[in-house]
Amino acid sequence: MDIILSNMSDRPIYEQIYNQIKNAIISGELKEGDMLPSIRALAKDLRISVITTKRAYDELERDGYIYTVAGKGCYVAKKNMELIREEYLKRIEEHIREIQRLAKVCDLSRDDIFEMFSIIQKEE
Amino acid sequence: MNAIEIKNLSKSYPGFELRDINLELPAGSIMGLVGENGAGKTTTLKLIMNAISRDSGSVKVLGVDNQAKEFNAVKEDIGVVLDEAYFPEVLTPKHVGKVMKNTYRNWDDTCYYNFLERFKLPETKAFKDFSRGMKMKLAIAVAMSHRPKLLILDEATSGLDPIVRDEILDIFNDFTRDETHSVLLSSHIVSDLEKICDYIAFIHNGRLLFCEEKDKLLEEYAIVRMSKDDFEKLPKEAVKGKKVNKYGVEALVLKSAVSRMFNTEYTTLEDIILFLAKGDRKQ
Amino acid sequence: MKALLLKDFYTLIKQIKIFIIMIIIFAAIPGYSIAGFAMVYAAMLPITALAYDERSKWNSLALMMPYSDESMVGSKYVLGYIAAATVALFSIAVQIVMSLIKNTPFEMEQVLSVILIACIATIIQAINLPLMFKFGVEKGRLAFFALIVAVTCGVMVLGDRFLVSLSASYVNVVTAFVATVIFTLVVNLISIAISIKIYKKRE
Repeated sequence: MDIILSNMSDRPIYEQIYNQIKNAIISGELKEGDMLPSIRALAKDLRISVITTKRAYDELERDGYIYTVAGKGCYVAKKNMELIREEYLKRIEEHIREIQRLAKVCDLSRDDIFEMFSIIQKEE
Repeated sequence: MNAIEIKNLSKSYPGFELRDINLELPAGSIMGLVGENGAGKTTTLKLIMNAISRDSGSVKVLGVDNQAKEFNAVKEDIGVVLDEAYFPEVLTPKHVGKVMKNTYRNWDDTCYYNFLERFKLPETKAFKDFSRGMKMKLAIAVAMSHRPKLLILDEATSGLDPIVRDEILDIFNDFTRDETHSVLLSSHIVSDLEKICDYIAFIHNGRLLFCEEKDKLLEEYAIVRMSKDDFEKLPKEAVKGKKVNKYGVEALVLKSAVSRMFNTEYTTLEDIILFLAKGDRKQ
Repeated sequence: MKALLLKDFYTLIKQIKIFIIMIIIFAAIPGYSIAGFAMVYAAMLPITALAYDERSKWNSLALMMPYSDESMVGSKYVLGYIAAATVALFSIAVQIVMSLIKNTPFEMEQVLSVILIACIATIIQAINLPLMFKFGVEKGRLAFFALIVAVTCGVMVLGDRFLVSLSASYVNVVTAFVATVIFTLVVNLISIAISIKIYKKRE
């Protein structure tokens, strides 16, 4: 698993970790039952505060992506299809907004966009 | 458990006063003590070790009152590096090793000599011929070689070049992979503290201005550059420090209290500390 | 305390080497005044050790280490005792050897005078060390030399009369001798207690 953090980002570090682990779980890179590095080991390897990794893990657990076994560690939870579907829908929505924004700049109409969509669909 | 617990600590000297310090260092964390020279950092560290006696308040280290008889035994578990206080200068690292072996119950010769090798310190060269950096490295080697649970370091990275500083910070970082190990590190090199600390405690003029989670500080504060007119538009409670010059205003603000229209700059811990220390400043 | 003695030993290695050469030379020459010289050197060792400590601010660091106050103070005394004892034993040993070689009768008087000088040196140390702990090395050193001068003058003035009464009666000598040793012990114990008190009261 790769975790790339940026100091310059708008998002706080714990959020970046949260997002990257979440995406790894959703994409299947991290499979159900996989053990995550301990909060402390992750913090030390990334050279960040333990408080921050703990916060990220706590939120991942709260949102159902991981679970903790006392004395053993943190594991990837069973893929909650609802959650994943929701996540994907959110992403599609973001993409659509982006398309809309770009279309406005190029002065494309809704029909133009649909036409482009059909062409691409046919290609696949 | 807290590695260090300080309540209402006060100590006064003619001309200087340390007042009402309240501080907790949770086990497993690294706390950076920052402040300008003379702010009270070294005094605080000495009070923690009872090297000087306090006027009032209480100090508990690793669960033990530092004025109790049992505290001497607790010193076995504390590794200390001081700024400018060392072994007699004619001693060599080999001599120091032998002395420390008879000083600490848990002295680990293998660990010590590994450090000497890692730091490239000559075993039989007298201390007085060492550079400042080498003196520091030896002190760190000693502090780490008796299986301590707590490290207290006073300016342990000053006078070292950036590569060595980074290596030493790595050592402290690794030290706390074990959750029973803690570090209290005082420094005026804020960028070093930003690299590895979990908490930052800021001492200024003998008072503890704050003790916060480092990441929270970086999340909450930002620097904004704007015109004097725009500055007037800011809510007063949001501004925690400012610099005014001919061409505009640079202000330290609470991100949450400031609208998105203001452009917040990338802010380092050092920026935050400087602004909080200087308060208002006219150039 | 072993650690602190080791530290002082390593610190004073150069001085100790000179010291050993000195006692070899001086012990071979009969006569108490010259052995006295070596004794003074022995009494100076704790002072030199303290001076090195002060220079590298060792005390600041030692306060953070698990040494008891008693060890910090006691180790300086013990250092002086070991040095004085070494001079005494070596002096006596050499004199025994000398008398065997020269086939001259061994004089008890010489042993007694060596031990006496050791007592005087320890008493000087007992007076000097509390002063050092209270006022620091610089002032302590001055006090030390003042003491040496005082004692030397005293010995020169009273010495002859003392020797006369020594050879007068054997019984008197033994009593006086034992009394001196006991006196030395008491003075040292009091001195150690005072030094520890001073050290504990430090800032």
